Amino acid sequence: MKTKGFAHLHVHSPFSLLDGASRIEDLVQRAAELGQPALALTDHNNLSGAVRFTRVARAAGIKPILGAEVTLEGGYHLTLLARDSRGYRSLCRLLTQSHLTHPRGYPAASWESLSAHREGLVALSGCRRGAVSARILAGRLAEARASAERLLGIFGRKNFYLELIPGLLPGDRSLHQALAELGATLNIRLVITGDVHYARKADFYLHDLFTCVRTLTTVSALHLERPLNAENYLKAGEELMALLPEFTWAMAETAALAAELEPSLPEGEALFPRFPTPPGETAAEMLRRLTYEGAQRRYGRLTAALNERLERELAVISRLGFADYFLVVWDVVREAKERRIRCAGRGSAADSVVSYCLGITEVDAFRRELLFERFMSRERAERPDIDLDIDARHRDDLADYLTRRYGADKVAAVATYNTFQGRSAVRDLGKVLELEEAELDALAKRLPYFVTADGIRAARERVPELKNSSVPWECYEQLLDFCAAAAGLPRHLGTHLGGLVVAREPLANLVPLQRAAKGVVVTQFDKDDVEDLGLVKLDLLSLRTFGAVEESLRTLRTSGQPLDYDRLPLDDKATFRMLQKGRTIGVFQLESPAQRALQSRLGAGNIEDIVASLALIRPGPIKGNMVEPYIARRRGEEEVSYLLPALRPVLEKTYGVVLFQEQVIAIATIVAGFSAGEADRLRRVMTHARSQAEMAAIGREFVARAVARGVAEETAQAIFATIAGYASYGFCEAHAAAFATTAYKTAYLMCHHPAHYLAALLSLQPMGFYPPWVLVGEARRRGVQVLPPDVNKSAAQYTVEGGAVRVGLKQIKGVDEKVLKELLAARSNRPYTSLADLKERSGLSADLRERFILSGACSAFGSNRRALLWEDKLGRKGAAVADFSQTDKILLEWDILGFSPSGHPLSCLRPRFREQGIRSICDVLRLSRGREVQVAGLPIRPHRPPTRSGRTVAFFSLEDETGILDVTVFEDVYRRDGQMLFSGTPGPLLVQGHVERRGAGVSVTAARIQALTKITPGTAYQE
Amino acid sequence: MRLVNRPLTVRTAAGLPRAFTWQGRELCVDAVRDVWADTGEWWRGEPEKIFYRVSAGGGLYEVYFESASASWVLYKIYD
Repeated sequence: MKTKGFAHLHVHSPFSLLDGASRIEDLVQRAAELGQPALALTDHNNLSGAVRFTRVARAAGIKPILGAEVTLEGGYHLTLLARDSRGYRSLCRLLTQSHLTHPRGYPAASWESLSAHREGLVALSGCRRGAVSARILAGRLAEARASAERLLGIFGRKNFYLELIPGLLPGDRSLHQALAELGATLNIRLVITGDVHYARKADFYLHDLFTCVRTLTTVSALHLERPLNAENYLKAGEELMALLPEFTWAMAETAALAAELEPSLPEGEALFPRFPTPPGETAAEMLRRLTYEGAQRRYGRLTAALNERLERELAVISRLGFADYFLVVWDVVREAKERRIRCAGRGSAADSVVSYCLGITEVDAFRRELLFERFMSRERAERPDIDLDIDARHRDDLADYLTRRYGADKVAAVATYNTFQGRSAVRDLGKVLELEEAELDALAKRLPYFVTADGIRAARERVPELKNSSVPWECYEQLLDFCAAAAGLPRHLGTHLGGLVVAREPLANLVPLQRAAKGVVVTQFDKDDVEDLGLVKLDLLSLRTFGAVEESLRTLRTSGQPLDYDRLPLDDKATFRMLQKGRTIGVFQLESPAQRALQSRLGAGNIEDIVASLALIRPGPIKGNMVEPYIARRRGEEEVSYLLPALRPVLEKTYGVVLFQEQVIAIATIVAGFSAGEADRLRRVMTHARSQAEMAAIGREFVARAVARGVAEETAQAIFATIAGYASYGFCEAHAAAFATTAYKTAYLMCHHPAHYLAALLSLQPMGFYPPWVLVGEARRRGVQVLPPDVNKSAAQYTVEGGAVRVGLKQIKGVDEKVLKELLAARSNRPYTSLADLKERSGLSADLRERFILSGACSAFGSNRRALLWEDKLGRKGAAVADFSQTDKILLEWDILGFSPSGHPLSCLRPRFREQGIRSICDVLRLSRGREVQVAGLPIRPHRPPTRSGRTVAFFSLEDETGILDVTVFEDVYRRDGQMLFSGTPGPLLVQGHVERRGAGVSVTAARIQALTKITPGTAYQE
Repeated sequence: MRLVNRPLTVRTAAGLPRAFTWQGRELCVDAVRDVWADTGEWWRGEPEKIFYRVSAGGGLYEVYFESASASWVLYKIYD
């Protein structure tokens, strides 16, 4: 057969970002269907899809060939293919240089860099934008020949080919003829490629739309980059041959070249850096020394059991080659501590006593008897992953430290790929399809964030804000088809929140680097791909809560109340009393409505209750109905029982409920005699089991091994059913324990120093579950006065002033760093004495002065804000005008600050509410269960978490001037009234329903929700 | 060059135009100079066309075949 052995050597995947319209899986599948033995991936200036492509192709029995279509300086394209791993490395270096030496988004390879990085690379002359073809098409044959000669000079006869692309385009015949003549003249071989941009002909339409998105045009507009036809699909060799019947020999050359090229992704190389140990000490020895020094500090006396545990961990770490990794992380933590940057390890790393002794984590894994094997084991193939939470204000400082320590060429951030989601697909594709922009915007805004691009049709049937809307769905059928096709395809490259890779050799040898937004150098691989390649990722995660803690401690120190945060008593009764009331707004990880409700029922009395709380309010335990039995057992209302007495030591701390992943591992060890590593593998298989058959097979193994150890078959089956049910959503105890301490300590701060803590929280927004206005309400509920901004007294951020919180000037809409700098600099000479003085010295614009006046920041110059406005705008000092009403003051402040220090907007309507029988929230909180009520307030964070039944239940809180109240909305009411909650930014709501009481918690179950129309200054609410 | 855009009767062999009748005269195709496909305004439902630039009877013509309707059209004549 003339096409035997043919493989496509010029193929674009979606990682060509808007120039490839089929998933890698689909391209590979098509090549496999056509019986092609190999497939190349040649995305524009990147290798982003290389790891996934290699994996998928191998699974399909197809040889993966890696390459890229690079852009040369001058804009010409050139197809490069890696012959082997040397070629791969050359390509990584070339692409890195192309990106990092040119403006972001415009990579270009110079001829010199092409020459410098040619080792192991094969070049094909490229598409119509290639230096040779473009010049032939332009009739500049001599220049075309010179380009071919230049490329031939760089790559040599063995590694340079002219590329014939039968794309059914005008001029193809003469172009192919000219290329053939050039090949004959210069003795250059020719290959046939498809310049593939999608798997099947029908995928062309999406590709065309992507081209429109990329070139900022619409379907009916002309653009040179718009494809003329749908011929760039992955064709069979026979189809290509039919288009180029006179080039049989080129087909054979293509097959021969495809056979020569090898898979080139590096495999099994040690890529992590060696830690610079002192002379004469290996990494393993240094790790041992530091661990035992740390153990001495943490424990004082080393017991035999502790010693045995440390030895076991050290042996696994060293045997798996991760001593350097631990030392690198230890060094970051050491640097952080030296610079007084708050930082702590989270996640399964806290299962390690070595991590604890090194100071990487603050969880005593030995005392808690946490299983190291959940983190690392010989049986576990995955690399360990240590995540560090760092005060967000200083996270980049530590990243810079890593760069300085190991070299800028060996450290980079990890990329993420933003993909087409419901909203982005509607906006992008709708716009190029020339649908009405305002309507598209309205539709996109209505789409809940969780709706995927291929889930819009399903969502419109079940989501009230879509179902009960006036969206003209009949106009969008074609758009929804394209959205579904684009779902999940990469849209653009971003930076992973915390992930950094550190390598032993320059990263550019291993993975191409480029710049993401803000100039950050990122790998072209995402976090999964860097790990698959063998690079070890270190997550330096920004945690704003640590910033709030540090800021609280600073203001406490400066106000003469220093607090030893790291040695706070972990059994403070007042703190636990506060938790038991569910008063946890602002408390790390415990502030969501579900956590508040849990706290008010659980009766947390010690830190272990907080650890359990963090694991309980998760989709899994909620869906698995674990919350109620846990609470009942914790409260002594239900008997604690164990399926096997031997399980008591493992499950006692969670009252017999399987709550943690570590418990699943321990159970498999005790019952079925698995080694801990085997048990973790079992847990992971159970977690990811895709079929009943797979789960049943694991179950048979578990039961057989348990029976062999003398466990009754029925009991073994019951235990397996229990852990199988929990394994998929069990929570890592080490992680919960790592967070629990911070949760408790922030609760302590909120309980004992609310003004300082709330001022810090407000200063470092956004963070946590609630917007600033809820935190301001919380301050009031705690008796902390919130003072308006003051042009002479406020700092940039929130401050504590005599036990009250003073709003910072930054909170005033429109105030930026530049404005602040000028304002504060002038004030540092002397306070502002009048509006005229402010106008003269502060540099504030007229608009900003108006906002200062209306937000109360100029009250030092007079209490009548309207008079101040007249003075500022008309120069009429002391004008006899009436001040704004209290309602208007509140609403104007709300508009300018996002909340009102003068009062709550709902207070303005209280007299009317009273007349209508609408109760205040503090009133409702006193009512007994079952009472019918009408209550109004501002809705806070409506959400619809997954539920056990699969039915939608929405939750939100209502706030008025007297308190905060949780509201539950069941499916029937949600379906009828849900759009009030989830359409844009909901205004004040009136809720009718009945009172529920559970533990110390009070909520209302809604029977009806009505919107109160938006309130504006000079008006009142209307129903 | 003249835009004609008129239906045409074409005799084909192996899928390629070999002869067509224009203004009562049957013209034999001497050579197919170029072939290309054009998807046109697909978003408005326009079907794909395959264009052929052919020399016939001493002239140069552009004809296309629309597979959706299985019809030929004389698109342009190059004078």
